[in-house]
Amino acid sequence: MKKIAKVTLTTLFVLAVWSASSYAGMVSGTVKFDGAAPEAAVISMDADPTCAGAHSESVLSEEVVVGDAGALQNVFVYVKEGLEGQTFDTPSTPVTLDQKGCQYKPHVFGVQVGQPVDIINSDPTLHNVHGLPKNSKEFNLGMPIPGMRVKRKFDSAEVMVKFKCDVHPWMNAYVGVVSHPFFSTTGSDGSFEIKDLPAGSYVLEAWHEKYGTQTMNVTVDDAAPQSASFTFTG
Amino acid sequence: MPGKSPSLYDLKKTTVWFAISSLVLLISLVAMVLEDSTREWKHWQKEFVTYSREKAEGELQKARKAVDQKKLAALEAQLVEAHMSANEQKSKVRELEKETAALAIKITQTTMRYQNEKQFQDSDRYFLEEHRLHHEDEQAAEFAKRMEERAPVIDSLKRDLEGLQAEDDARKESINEITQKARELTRQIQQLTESITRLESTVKKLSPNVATAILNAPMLDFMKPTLQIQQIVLENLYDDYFFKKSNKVDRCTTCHLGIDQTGFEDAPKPFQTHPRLELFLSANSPHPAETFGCTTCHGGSGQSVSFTTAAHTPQSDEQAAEWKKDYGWREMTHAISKMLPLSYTEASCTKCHGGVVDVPQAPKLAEGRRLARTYGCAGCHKIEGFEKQWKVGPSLEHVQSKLEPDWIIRWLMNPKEFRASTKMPRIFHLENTSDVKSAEKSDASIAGIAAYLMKNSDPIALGSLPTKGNPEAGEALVKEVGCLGCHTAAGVDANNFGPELTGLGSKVTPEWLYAWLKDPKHYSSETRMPNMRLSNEEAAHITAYLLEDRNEKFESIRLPIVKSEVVDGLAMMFLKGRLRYDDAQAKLNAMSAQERLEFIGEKTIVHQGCFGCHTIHGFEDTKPIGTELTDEGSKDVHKLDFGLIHLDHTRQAWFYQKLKEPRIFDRGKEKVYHEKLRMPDFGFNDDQAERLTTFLLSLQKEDIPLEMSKQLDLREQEIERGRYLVAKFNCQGCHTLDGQEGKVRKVFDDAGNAPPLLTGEGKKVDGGWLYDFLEKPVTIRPWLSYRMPTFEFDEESLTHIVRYFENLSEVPISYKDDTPKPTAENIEAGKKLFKAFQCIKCHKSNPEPGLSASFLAPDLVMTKSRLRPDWVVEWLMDPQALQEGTMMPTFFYDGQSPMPEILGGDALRQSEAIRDYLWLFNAEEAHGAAQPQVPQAG
Amino acid sequence: MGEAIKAAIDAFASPVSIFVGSILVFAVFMTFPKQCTTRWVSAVFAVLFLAFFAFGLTDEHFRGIVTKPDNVPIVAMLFIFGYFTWFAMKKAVDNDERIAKGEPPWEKTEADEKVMVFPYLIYIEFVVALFCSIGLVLWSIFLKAPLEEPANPTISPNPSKAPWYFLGLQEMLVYFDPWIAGVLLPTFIILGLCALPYIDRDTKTSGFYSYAARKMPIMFFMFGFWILWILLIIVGTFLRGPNWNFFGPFEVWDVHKVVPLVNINLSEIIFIKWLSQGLPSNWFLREAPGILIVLFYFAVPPVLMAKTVCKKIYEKVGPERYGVFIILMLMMLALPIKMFLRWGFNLKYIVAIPEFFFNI
Repeated sequence: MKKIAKVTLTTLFVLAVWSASSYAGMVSGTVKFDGAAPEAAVISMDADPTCAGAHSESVLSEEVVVGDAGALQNVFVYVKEGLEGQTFDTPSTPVTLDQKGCQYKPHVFGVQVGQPVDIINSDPTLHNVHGLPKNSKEFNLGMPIPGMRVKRKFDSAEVMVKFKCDVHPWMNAYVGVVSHPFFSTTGSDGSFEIKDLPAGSYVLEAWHEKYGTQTMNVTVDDAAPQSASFTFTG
Repeated sequence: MPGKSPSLYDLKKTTVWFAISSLVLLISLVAMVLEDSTREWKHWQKEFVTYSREKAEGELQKARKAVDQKKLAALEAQLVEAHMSANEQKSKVRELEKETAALAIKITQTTMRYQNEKQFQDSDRYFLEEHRLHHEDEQAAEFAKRMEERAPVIDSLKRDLEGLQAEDDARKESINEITQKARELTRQIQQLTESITRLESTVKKLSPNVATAILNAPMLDFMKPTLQIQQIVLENLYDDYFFKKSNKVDRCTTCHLGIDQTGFEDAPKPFQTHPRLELFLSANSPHPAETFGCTTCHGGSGQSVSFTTAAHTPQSDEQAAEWKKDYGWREMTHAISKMLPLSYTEASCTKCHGGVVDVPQAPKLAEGRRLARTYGCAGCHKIEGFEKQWKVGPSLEHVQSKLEPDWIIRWLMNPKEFRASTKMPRIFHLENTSDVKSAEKSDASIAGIAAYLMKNSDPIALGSLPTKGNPEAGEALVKEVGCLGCHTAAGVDANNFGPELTGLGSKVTPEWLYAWLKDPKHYSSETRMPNMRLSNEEAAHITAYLLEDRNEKFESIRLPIVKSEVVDGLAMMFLKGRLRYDDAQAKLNAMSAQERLEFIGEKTIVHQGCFGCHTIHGFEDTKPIGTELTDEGSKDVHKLDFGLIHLDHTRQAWFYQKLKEPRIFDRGKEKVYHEKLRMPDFGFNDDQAERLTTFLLSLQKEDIPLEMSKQLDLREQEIERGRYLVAKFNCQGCHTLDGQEGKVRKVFDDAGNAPPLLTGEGKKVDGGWLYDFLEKPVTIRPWLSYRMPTFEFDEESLTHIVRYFENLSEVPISYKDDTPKPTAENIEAGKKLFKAFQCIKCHKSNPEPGLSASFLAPDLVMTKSRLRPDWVVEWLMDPQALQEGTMMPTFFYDGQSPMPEILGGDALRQSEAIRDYLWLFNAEEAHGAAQPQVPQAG
Repeated sequence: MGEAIKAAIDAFASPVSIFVGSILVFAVFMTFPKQCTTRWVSAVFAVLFLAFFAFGLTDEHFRGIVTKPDNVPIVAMLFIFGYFTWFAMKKAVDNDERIAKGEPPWEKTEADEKVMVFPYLIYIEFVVALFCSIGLVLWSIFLKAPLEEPANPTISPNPSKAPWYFLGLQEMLVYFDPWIAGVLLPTFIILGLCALPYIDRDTKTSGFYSYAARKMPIMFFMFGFWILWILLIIVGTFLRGPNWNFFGPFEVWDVHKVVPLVNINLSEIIFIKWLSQGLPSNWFLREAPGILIVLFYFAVPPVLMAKTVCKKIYEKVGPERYGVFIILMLMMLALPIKMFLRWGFNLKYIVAIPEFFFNI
């Protein structure tokens, strides 16, 4: 009997600790779009036959992507205020930006200051990656060889930096460069998750390429995950 | 005892008076000394000391807080320990010091003996040589012996001395060893508190104390006062005192104490730091204070040390009242040396910076000059340096083929009625000619001018339009073919260099406009409007569009009724100037009514000086009618006619008023019609008048010695010649060039559709090619709708423009033939790289119409004739460095090539290979490259 | 009210009125010295003068001119000369009374009583010297030297005035040819002053103030000094403005003021106006009337006056000295005579010989 009690207590104790840590400092939520989703424009890729040939059906613009139940994709959510004075280690794992089918994948993503961005050209045609940051130096890299990779780093935080391709003007991507690892981009279900946030109060900002930004105050403690939701209206 | 006489003075009373007068004299003498020693500038210097001290005290507080107290405390504790340990060896130290003292005495004695012996030796040498010379061998031998005997003594003394010194050094060494730790720690502490110590001593120096009080006391301040007049004596700059030039001595820094130091930006005036220290006053600026002083730029009386007599000029009436209250300021009537108000300081720049189109770093002056060029001041007023200025108004040599007399009349009555943005000023019906009689005379004169111009101009053959023209197409063309590079039209106002294209339907005929658009120089050989190479249909469309816009209000202006007796009166007035009354009357009677009208028109043109802005037949050599403005900035204020208007008696007030309301100085005066002021009203707003006043104030007579003025070297001269042409033809209306953005670029959403950027053009394109291009433009970027116009430059201008670009990019004159001489390897490699980088994707020779500009790039077939080979290599290596924001991507990221197997992956060699290949690239190759490729796997 | 008074004064002020008015005041003072130097009259006169000054100082323009450091000594001069003239006349009148009674004059009475130089002279002189020093020190503190800007040769100051001691002569330039006013008259003034002691050698009234026995000499001298020297200096300093136009004491000096002056020569009056002929081409004929008048003026009145008005003088000093005296006096009187001729008849020159640059 004593042994079982011990085991039970230990298990309970471990569970409690584990649950506390797994929920410690997490903010999650969904971003929704209110109203009728605008119809996405069709992109004409006739100018470059290689691009047109890569798609069997028509390609839609990724400017506003609304999924089921109004889920708004490609919204960049990050901690805007509350982390002043803290420094974070720069991760060495790169974030990949792929040019495939004459489109940037992912369309919206986040990266930390100093974290490498791995840019790949998976298409058999010439692309160029033209980054237009305001806080860093502008760059324009040609990638003529299919499969070639180029690494790029950002030295200053900026939300958001636009990437475009000069050969194919419909191609663009947006990257949010922040100095901390607390950011997330909504997927097709419109959900985002920011983990391991130390306890405290913060200002969260959600950015969409067409509908602008929204902010929200959240207070995070180690007890339970916070939820935050944003709604954009067209 | 003398008896009492009424005229005898009472001694007691006299003594009283003596006492009183002595006291009063003492007081008055003290008052005199104080009055003499109380100087305005001393007050300011004391204030500055106080301010600096307070500032230092603030910094001291901050420094004290910034010091790491813990570290300091630790060091000090260690120091105490070190002292204690040193103290334990105190007796040893004392002994060593005693020995050192004794050694010092010995050293001194030895040194003295040594030097004495050396002296004797030298003296003996002299005598020895003298005796030898005179062949006195006996004496010589004696001296030689003495020298020989003395030599070893000297040597031994020297050795002794060295020995003693070595001992001394050893002892000192020992002492040092003992105290070394303490000293080291003290040094560290000092380092830590260095700024505090420094600031403390600064504060102490600036604090009042007895010594400075005595040194600055009245009667005692001749010795070494701390409050002193500061002056800069300028060697090469002079004050002109009429037939005598004396070196400028600027004492401004006596009160303006912080002006050349950083750190006083927030200080109260007069201690405030001068703005833009890197440009003015600091030792490594182009205008260091020791070389240029203050009054060269600001004017004023540099030798004065009082606020009022230095002739500070207030910026406004409010400031004048403030100064009167605070400083007892009054205006100095010195016309020569009054300071320029701060808002007009840039007027002094041209004293040294002559011979340039725009003085650098002087935007107000540059704008003033630009206005003077645009509105054609030099057309009526002779200004040295502006003689070659082009005529700013259109030529009237063939005006009868363009305009109707009625239009001319309505136009002359008030040009702004037709078009508010016109630059033509109003000449008639202004303030001083607004009474009924003058108005009648003006109307008659206007009618006369119209009649005369009709008669005096030669007709021009105008063709007829081939088709009717579609206004909508015309509007699109106006927006797209490049008219907006000079004109405001179709609702877009990027430029106002040429006239605004509104109301043309009320002004010109379709035939005239069509002929003008097809070839402007056919109508006016001197026009600056270029030929846009419009096709017949295009010209017809544009004509149709522009003539749609009518100004009904203008058309409905009632033409004034001209009475014949007024015409006769005017004609008589002109005739009586030369002839006696009877002869004049006879001549008048001999003229028909029309002739009379034309006569007064001609005379009015002479009177009003229309030929100053417009080329008019028969008036090519007539002298302009206005006052010469060459030295206007130095003109005596007494020579300016202020009339009966109450104005500040200064040049700038007069100029400003004259520019805003030229006829105002006739107010209240009794004058006959033709004696009234003639300057037309340009309708300048306050800003424009201020800038033009700056320009007028800059026209000064003062001649600065050559070594002090800015001499343009050859390169700068050629750039200025180019800038002149750029200003004349408004290149910057379309193109970004020479530090200014092309004005029309903001109209474009897609920057790729805008006229190309010309920054760095000189080292980019071949000079010969540029010459040909400017003479006869060809299409380089076929997707652009804007056309580079044909300006029909003459040879001299073309050369100047090419040299201008080359000099801007600092391209040296080189006779080397730099055509690439490629090897077969390079050509092969270049071809491979060309294919791999898929250059042809954007650099299409025959692009499909309708593709957006960001797809497209110039045809590479032109490379060998157009571009410079070195530039092509530079470009390929890093396009963003040469033209930021270009669509051309970098293939050699970080100096690495994506094709490491070609030419060893060396980015430079690969770029050269591509360049070499391009020099062989022709239409055939281009066609071959454009075929769909099978891409290689990388 | 004040403005009305000022306007009235300005309207009244003109060279004629000031000159004539001053002569009247002078005549009254010289004819009735006893009455004029009584306490009451003197006080009234002084109060009126001071009142005028005080009133004037309220006006900005008047104040500006009078307190100009250049002009302060002239104002002081006016007060000082006025006081000393009054003092001398008072003393003279007193002495005349005493002499009439048979008593010796004041100076003699005082001279009989002797006192020690120190302290009765030195001490007093010392105290006075102290007061002088105080005056100078305070002057130096409050009245600054009027340094003007560096002279610009292309701009002449307007008005361009001579130093104060020559302003009388500059005023004369209005009425006389420069040769006369600038050379002849000053020479005569200087020669005349030098000659005075040799003309009037009467020692009877030397050493004390007296008037009754020396009326003529004193009157002539005072006339020359006050009316023809001091008064003209006053006019030149305070009442002559730009372009040498006359301005009232409260009139602002306007440089644009234009006053028409049409003056004609005597020869033109005679030949053109009266005889309606043209001017003779020969200068001698043309100026003959004027020359005759001038010669007449210097030839006839001396003789006449010797027999009548100046009989006593003639007898006292003899013909030579009388001759010098009368010429000097006639020269002196020529000034006011010419001035009246100018004001009355717009006469420019009595003798006008531009060929030799000689005009009278």
